[in-house]
Order: sequence, then C-alpha cells, then structure tokens
Amino acid sequence: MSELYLVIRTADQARKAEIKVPVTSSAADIVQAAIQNWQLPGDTDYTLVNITTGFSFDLSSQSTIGSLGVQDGHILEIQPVLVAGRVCL
Amino acid sequence: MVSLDRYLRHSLIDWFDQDRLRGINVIVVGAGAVGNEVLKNLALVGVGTIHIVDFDIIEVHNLTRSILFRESDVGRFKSEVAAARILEINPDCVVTYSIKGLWESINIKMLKKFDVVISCLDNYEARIALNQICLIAKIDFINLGIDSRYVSIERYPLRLEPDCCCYECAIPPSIYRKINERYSCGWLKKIAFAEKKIPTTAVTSSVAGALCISLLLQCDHPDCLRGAVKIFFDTITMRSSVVKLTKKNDCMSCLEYGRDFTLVEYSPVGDISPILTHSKNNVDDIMIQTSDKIITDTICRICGQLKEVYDLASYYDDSLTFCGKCMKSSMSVQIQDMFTFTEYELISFRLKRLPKYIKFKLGEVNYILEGGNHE
Repeated sequence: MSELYLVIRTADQARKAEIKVPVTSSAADIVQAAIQNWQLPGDTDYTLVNITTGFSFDLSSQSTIGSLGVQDGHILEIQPVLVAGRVCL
Repeated sequence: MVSLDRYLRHSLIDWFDQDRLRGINVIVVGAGAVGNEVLKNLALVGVGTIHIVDFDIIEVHNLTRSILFRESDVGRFKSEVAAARILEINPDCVVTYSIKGLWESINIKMLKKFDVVISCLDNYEARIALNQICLIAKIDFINLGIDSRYVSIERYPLRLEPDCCCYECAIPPSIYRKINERYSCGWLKKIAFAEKKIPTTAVTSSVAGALCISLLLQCDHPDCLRGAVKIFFDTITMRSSVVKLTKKNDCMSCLEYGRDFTLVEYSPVGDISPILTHSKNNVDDIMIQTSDKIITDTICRICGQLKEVYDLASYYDDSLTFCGKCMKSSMSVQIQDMFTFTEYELISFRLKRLPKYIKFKLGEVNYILEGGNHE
C-alpha cells in the first residue's frame, strides 16, 4: 500500500477533506499542504493530531505517516497553537 | 484535617481527596485572564499553597476577563491584588506572590518545594524557559493557552514521569522561527517589533481555568488521564479532543535539561573552584553553559571601536548595534552562552548581572550552580 486515504480537517471543521496521500508523507508535509491549500492564517502556528488514535505528531520529524501508525480512514486535525501576544519574561 | 464545613459538598464526592489538595503547592505564572480563573479555582477547591508570579499592572481592559480585579484596582500589581482576593475567597490557603519577572521570581531550589507549575503566560519564550526549569527541577508543568475561540491545556507530568514528553517536544518548529523574528544577532530584542495582540474573552479564560483545575483534581479519580496529554476545546461548537503528547526523541530540551543534576548554590557566581578541587579533569576540558546569553563586547566593523558590555543579553535591544561614531548600525555584538572554565572565570567577575545558573559536566556528574538575581 503506497497511499493512504485520510480525512483531514481544521479544528473548527470549517475545512475538511478526504485526501489520498503517499505513505511516505511526513506530518509536516500534511500541515504545510493544508496551510497552502486552505490558505490558513500564516501568522498562526499549527500542530497535527490524530483524532482516531488520540496521539499528536512531531512536526519536526521526517518520519513517514506510514511508520507512525496512520492508517486508512484516520482523521487528522490541524489545531492552532494558542498563545496571546505580550512578552513578560 | 481540613474544615469539614467549608468542604462539605466536596466530602460527598467519594473520590475527592481534600487532604491531598490541602497538601499541594502550586506556582501560577501569569495573573492575567487565565491566571485569574486558575487562581480563583485553586482557592475554591482548597489547594494549600499558592505562589503567584506576575510583574504586570492591572489595566482597565483586563476587567472584562479578570474575576479577581475591580475598577478600583487599575494601576495596582496583578499578583498583589490576585493574592489578596484569593485569600478573601479562601483564608485557609497560604498565598505568596512576586511582582518581578519570571526569571527573577523563580529558581530551581525553590521550585523543588512545589508540586506543579501552571503557566498562564502569553508568549512562547517564557513558556520555553519555564519548561526547561521544570525539567531540571522535575516538577509537573501545566500549560494553558486561549484565543477568542479555543482553549488548549497541556499537562507534562515531569515529577512522576521524568521521561515523558515536554513542552518543547510538543511545539512545532515554526515557533522557533517566530521567536527569531523578534530578535537580531540571535538575542537582542528588535525595538521596532510590534507584538500581536490576541483577542480573548471571559468564556475561553474560564473554560481554561476549569479544565486546568479538573486536571489537578482528577488525579484521585479512577478514570483520570495519564501521562503527557493535551485537551483542546472549541467554545463555539463545544467539540473537544484529548490526545497523548508524543515525546520527541531528539528534543534538545529533554536532552539538555531532563538529566539528573546535582544542584549547588554558589556565591559569588563564578567561584566553582570548590567543586573542582577533587577533580582530575583539566579545567579547560570543562564547558560551562550559562542559563542566559551573555554579551561580552561590541566592536564596530567600520571604525573598530570596542565597547565592553559584560551583561545579560536580555537587558539589551538592537540599538546596541548602533555605532555613535559612524552613525550606522555597524557594531558586531559578541553573544555567547558556552565558555571554557578559564573563559568563564575571567568574565564572571566583570559581569554586571549574573546568569540565573550555570551548568557543566564533571566526570559523570551534571552540575547546576544556581545564583543570579532571584528572590
């Protein structure tokens, strides 16, 4: 199996798509594609979680989604990293 | 035993351990919108000891989201007012506060007396610094984040599971790029950088406060969440998700700060010779890492003018790169946080301000020598 059928969505579920991706894709590839295709706000940082398995992804890893246990039908959600904007260190 | 009258309704919950809560020591960093909700809930449920850190002053726009502040409090310190109000809510609590910044308010020795640090901060740098110091002290870290719609709570149980995922394991690489945008030369604040203000409401801050305290309480419940977890809540659709946070194998923070350290108090800073007395190591084989970046000097690339600085970089901005003689931003700034022992010995006595701690490895032992400008 060289491709996976996945559901990818934003946290508000305003954007949702059934996609076919190579098993060799990384989590970061998926997030980057979603940001570009859905024109998500560029000033926000995002994480990716696997809603089906209940695990988060390491976006700095080059590991393939295939090796991370992602399977056909899994739902992946792009969530914003939440922070307000004043420095108080 | 705690007062049965005050906690009567709690005592009706079979898994609720009031005595355990009474014995918990919590640090809340940030007494803004989320901090207010967390503090209010800590006091209501009867957490024993609460320390509040915030140097900021109450402004009128805080009043739409801050249950502990009144209009008459505008202009007063957030942590001072919050401490007074939660004592009114529950006089059983032991409450202390600091009106200094995070780095001046907290140290590793002090942290070890606490059970959990709750981050109600509003920026990445302070969260990263807190995460690192929690990794060293091996103390639980709860991080809260909100915007106008979403709530995110992450729990890192570093005390019981020191090898679990840490805050830096869980954040995407884009955050480091964002932090770098705010600094020139690696660590000088850009004076012209405009901070983005994130809109928030009492809805998201109160949900964050409630979920955070629920995480503290649920340790007593048989169905409680285990390990490093993230709860994400959408206050519009009311959907939520819970995921286990995955440890990053090459996380630099886990590798650097997650080890076992021998903590030594030192004064004056730099006098590490007692530790070296019995060492067979060549002292210059020892690399010393400072907790804070240090500016040693600046030199103009045009006129060659040299200026000694010997101070912590966090106190400077990019105006330091301006040469008054050449009237250009032509100064190169020497910033470093790694020194040989001899280098550090030479500079440490000239430093205007001391790093919070220094760390180094001697034989098989990782040392942290803590000094610096903290309470």
